[in-house]
Amino acid sequence: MADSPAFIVVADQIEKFSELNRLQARGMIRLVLKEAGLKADSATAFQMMVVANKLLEAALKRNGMVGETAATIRENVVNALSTMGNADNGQNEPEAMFSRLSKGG
Amino acid sequence: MFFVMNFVEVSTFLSAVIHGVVGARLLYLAGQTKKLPEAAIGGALTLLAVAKFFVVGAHALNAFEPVTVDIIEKALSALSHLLFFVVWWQVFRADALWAKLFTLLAAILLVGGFAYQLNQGWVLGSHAWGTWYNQFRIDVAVVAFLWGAVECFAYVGRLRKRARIGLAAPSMALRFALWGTSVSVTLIIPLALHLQLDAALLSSTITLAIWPVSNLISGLCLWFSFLTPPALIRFVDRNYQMEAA
Repeated sequence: MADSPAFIVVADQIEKFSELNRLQARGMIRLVLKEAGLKADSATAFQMMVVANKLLEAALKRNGMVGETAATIRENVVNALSTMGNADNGQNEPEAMFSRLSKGG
Repeated sequence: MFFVMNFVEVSTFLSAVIHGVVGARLLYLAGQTKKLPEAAIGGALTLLAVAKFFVVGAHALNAFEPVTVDIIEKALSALSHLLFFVVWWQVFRADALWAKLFTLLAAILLVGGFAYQLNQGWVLGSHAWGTWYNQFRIDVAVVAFLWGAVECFAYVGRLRKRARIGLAAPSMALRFALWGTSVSVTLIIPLALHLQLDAALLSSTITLAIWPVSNLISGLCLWFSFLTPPALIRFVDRNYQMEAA
């Protein structure tokens, strides 16, 4: 299944601002997403933003990227995700139905 | 034995009420949102409730021939089980081709099997399982509920991870866990029937005792999963956050 646009954006930024190649950058993000309970094919921009803010720094550190390199990558990832908006707001997630039910639809 | 039989009927009735109420609520939601997941779950639960009401009512009123009751009940149940395949496909694997094909295969097997049995003549009590189709459709139902249970619990695992970073409410994981438990407990009935009828490892009394208990546990879990009291949601979300802090 195709990777989500948000996933591709994040992987591209990491590839661009680090020494990791495409395969390594995508592999690293896939591991971070697994840790967050998300999948590459359905992760939204909002979810990726939370992951970038809460888990990316540790993942970069594990891959030997600290200090200014890590800060630059994180900043560029967040900026790139900010421009994506929130068109796909997770309405197709399994829990969306429960949310609609709780809202009294 | 008399007490056990009555308990079976009472539990079947209560289970039918729960399935009916939750199903109707979801169909009402589907009417407003026009979304397939709630329509499929609502339809599946409502059909299951109608089948249970029909059996209890038909036995109480003695209004139909036993064969007619059996055919109508099996048709309603089969349609409900087919809708459960649609549920798992639409809720958890909407974009997966294999899930679509799997659901299609279930539809062919259930409808084809029913038509074949009807064509062969529907005879009650020809062997331990009643009709050949009865055993067959229960096996298909086992696959449906097993698929659902695996999906629900796998999703609970993902939601728990998401909850740690604030991407999901802890109560949502609980609701999927309850749904998964409800589906898993439903599996106990056909397994008990297999142990009783195929392996002679269980007596019919034990099976008749397992049946109502499973019905009630499954019904309660279903109720708390879909019609979760707001106070419980607040309690779980608050306590989990305190635990994380």
